[in-house]
Amino acid sequence: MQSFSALYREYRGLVRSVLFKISGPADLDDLVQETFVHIWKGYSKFKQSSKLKTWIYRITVNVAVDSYRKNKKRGLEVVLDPERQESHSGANQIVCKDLVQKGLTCLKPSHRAVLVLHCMEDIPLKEVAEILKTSIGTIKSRLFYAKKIMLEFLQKNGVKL
Amino acid sequence: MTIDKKTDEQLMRFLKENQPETPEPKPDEERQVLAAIEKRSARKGLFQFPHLWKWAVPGLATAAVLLALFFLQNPVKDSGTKTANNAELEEFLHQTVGAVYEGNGIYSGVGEEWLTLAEQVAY
Repeated sequence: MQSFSALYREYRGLVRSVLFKISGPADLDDLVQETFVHIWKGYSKFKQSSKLKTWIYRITVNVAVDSYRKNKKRGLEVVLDPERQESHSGANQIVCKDLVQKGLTCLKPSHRAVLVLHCMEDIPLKEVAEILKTSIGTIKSRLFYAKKIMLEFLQKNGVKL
Repeated sequence: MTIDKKTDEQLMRFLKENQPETPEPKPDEERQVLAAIEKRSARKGLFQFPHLWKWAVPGLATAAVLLALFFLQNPVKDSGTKTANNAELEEFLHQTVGAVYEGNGIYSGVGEEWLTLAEQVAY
């Protein structure tokens, strides 16, 4: 358990950040917990054929996408944190951050995952393909559509690039 | 709509600089996560042979179906019915063989066919 505690400390930031960007603020603490339970369950079976970080990213993305789909089925939309919106509505960068988060909710979960991993987490496309267990061609296609929708959303909301 | 290289680079930079800020975790998050894991590992005791659970249910279901099929094809005969059937068969054979014997004057192959038929009817 001690070694797992060390693993938790090393990856908690990464897990939390990816979960938040893909599935939003709702149930974030529960999702972090669920992700680490999955990691713990699979840790004994983890094969060194893939990097530990890649494997953790994969579990995190799966938990985030599943949660998004469940919420969608239950009719719950991914919403922004209302507290944050009210308290920082004046600051320009906060507005941009909120816009990006809103833009992310316009994307399909699979497209969102690619955009978050590649554009925000700086993971190369090849590794993104490995994380999502799909071909690099599919990743490029998803990234193209994700960027296109995000760009249209930002431009519609007055962002000039 | 296509995205030119310059716009693509600007979009990438914009997304990178304005990515949503992740809210801080609760101070006791680590304790909660580790407690959840310990709870699961305690519960694991009951399910420490997952492969057995995985095979036990379909295995038992298959055995039940096979058993049902076996009894459908080989119904348990009630001994009372069997006695009655034997008595009926004796009576039937007596009458049949008698009829054949009386009719033909001899106990011939025709009688054997009747016997076989009588057995089939009885069982």
